[in-house]
Amino acid sequence: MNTPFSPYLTEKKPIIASLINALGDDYPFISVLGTDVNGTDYAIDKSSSHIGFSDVTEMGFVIKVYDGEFYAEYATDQLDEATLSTVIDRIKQLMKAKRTIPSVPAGLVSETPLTKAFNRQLNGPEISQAEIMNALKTIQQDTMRVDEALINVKLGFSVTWTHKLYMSKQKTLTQVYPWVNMRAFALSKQEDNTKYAFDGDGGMSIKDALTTLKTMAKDTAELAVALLNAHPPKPGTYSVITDPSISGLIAHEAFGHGVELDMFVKDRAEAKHHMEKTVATPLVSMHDGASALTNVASYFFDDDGVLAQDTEIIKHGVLKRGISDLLSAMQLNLTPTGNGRRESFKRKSYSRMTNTFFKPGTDDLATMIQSIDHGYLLVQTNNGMEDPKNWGIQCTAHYGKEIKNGKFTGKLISPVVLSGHVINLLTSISAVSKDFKMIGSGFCGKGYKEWVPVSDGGPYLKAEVKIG
Amino acid sequence: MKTMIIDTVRNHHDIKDWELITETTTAHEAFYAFGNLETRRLVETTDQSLKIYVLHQTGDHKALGSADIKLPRTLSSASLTTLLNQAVESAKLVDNKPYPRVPGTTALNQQEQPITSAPFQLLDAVAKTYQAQATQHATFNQLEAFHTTKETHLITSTGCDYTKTLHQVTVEAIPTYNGKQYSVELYKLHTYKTIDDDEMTTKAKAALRDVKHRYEAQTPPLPNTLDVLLPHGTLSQFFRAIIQDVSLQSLYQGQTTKKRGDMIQKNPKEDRISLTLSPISPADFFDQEGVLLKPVSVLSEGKLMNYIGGQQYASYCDETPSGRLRKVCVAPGSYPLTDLKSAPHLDIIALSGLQIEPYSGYIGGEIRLAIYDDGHTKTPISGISFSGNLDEALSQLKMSQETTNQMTYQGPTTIKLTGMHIV
Repeated sequence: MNTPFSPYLTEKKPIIASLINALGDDYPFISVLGTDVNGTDYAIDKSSSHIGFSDVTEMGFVIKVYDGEFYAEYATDQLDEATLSTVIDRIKQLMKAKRTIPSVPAGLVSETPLTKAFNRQLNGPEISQAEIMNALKTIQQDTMRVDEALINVKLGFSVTWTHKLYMSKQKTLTQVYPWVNMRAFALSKQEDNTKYAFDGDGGMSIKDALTTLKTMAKDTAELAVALLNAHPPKPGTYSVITDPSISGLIAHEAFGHGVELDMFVKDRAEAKHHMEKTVATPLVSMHDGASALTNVASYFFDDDGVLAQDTEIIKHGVLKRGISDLLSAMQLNLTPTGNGRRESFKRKSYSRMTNTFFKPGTDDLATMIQSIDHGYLLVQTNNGMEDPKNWGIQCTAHYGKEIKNGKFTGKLISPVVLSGHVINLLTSISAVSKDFKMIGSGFCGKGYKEWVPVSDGGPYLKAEVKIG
Repeated sequence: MKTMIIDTVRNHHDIKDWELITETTTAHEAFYAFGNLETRRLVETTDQSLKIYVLHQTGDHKALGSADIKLPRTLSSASLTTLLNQAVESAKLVDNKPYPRVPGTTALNQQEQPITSAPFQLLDAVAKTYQAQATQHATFNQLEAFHTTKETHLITSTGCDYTKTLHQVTVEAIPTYNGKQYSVELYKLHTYKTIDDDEMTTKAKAALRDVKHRYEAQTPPLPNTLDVLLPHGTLSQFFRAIIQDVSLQSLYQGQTTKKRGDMIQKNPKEDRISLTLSPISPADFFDQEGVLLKPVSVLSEGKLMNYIGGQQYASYCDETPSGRLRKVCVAPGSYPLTDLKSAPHLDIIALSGLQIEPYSGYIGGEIRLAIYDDGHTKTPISGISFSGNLDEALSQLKMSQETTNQMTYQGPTTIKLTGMHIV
């Protein structure tokens, strides 16, 4: 069954056109982004279950207006015949509100006329809520039986349909696309020792996601039990191999945030001084883009109405370009890259990552492991924090597998905090595997707010890293 | 529309109970770059969500199902009925042990004092106050200021009819120090319930002083282990991590075996933690289930006093729900700051993030700025990490007598973690 574009937003097109016409005489630029995002969340653990709307669910409009000097935005969840004149008045009041501080000079957005409808569907059929919930119950109960040390197994599942409409004097764009996420969490306990493990991923098929979740839940449960014997690492600098999720975390935290071009505008990015310079070994190439591949952040146009792209950020170790929203690109005299994203219609658009990854190389993973005298295979993103100005790294891997003399010893360390300097890490990369995996179940914040879904990943990397 | 929603839900034969939450938000936002105004935003929205509860039975097995739905701004009775029917079918898939909903009292309405009647002017004034502290080398490259008013109205089938109106101003500031060869920055987040120019000036000056220290920071040889002082900005997270496992859900699911009177803080040799959770203000008097919020003592002298959680698990455990309490309040410690700052120690000003893993007993973080005091000299330090064992840190925990009162934390201005590994 094909999911059509949002009837709600379709019905709003004429009123939006009226709004743009009404404001058009006074303002050289007006754009309206309409959003209708429906996410259904399912959750189950050993004593409770839940169905409800997800945190990304939203329905509203953000109107961007330019008066010849200054851009401002009005966000509302009510736009219809009855409220149109009120909305127009509020926008005019907003633009006229006294500014007691000089504004940053801003030019007029230049748009190429375009009218297009984009539509992506699920791979495979929609599955009923009853089937999803029954599948989750079965998986949860089966997984609890994996080991006596398990106290709880929690599963999460979500299906999100995103519908967005962008209208301006020059453009009318619509897009609809789905995403399915699954998550597993397991808690184990032996006497006073409690440990946990988790995993998550996403895809375009509900049926495949449920099948994957079954294996994911079992693996997560077994890991939670294995981690009962894990210890923190001895702090130091080690040769490590990062699994695709950690490789992606490094791409995202260590470098991705540093090339968000709104940071260049505010002189907050060290990368500004390194364009066209070597920042990594020649083995390293890195991309970001909503159209680079299909994952959670694969839209057709961004929240500024700019078409999605695939941006080559690092090419064979050389920093090539950053990613931008529309206004930052204008301020820097660059072409926008389709990376203008909002947490919701209620929030501002910033330069944000989408699907961020290192490109695969040619090395064999087994050979990479054999090359390590004493180090670790670091697995599974826990969290990370950006430092675009000073290129510090803080990333946390949930666990690591010890390697000695080229072989796994069976010992686990957890948690593992990677720290250091971005350039030191990237220039220490000595092998890049042929493998490639993206993980699309995470959210990215800017500072500690503005949360957007992102994916990251890549191959296995071998590098020298400070861990603690 | 609220009346239509309530009437329709009340008359739905399958719905046992319901909770309708309406949140009306007005946010004025201003964004500044190098002291100039980049853009402004005005947000005016009303979010309505409805949670319904349905009793259902399979054989002898009785269950309480629930589902929550987001309601569009414009809604006819027929559309609402369709949504309710779908929600009922969803709720029948949810299999929870039945529990009663929170009973209501009389209609109650509490409002915080508004901060201003001219938000954009206020935000410009805030930006000017911050930027006025700039020096030749230290300034705010970026400043985002938000004035938010949120009115929350909860109506439930069990008689809750509560309204609260909260206001706050939030400032996200990026102080930057531009030296001869390079520049550095820090991240600061300040929230205000009232506007006090002196308070803002003090915070802005402190931010610029801190970033100057970051520029001057070195990485000299340090001992392998050091005592570490955590700043109050991290302490809400720190103390919440310690009580993470004393939720009613943990109790019911067997995740915690701690009983009232058990020591949560193992083998305390120094200060013992007395911790209360509170609403953030008198106007923040209820949560999304209708629990009327009042301070709850969780720890007293390191011992568990009460579990915390919502109505579902409170009912299962035959306890009183604490509700969602957003402020952590910790009793003062026994050490004057001067004692805590006895050398050698690392006085942390800014972390990229505090990592606490109560299950593995890990605490650590990457230090963006700290002052290393070796007993003779104070040196700004950056680019190192600390880590240690949480249980050992809690057994040797020293807390300051001096206290601070912020929106989500009231308690010692700093705490000392003994013998942390330095990398």
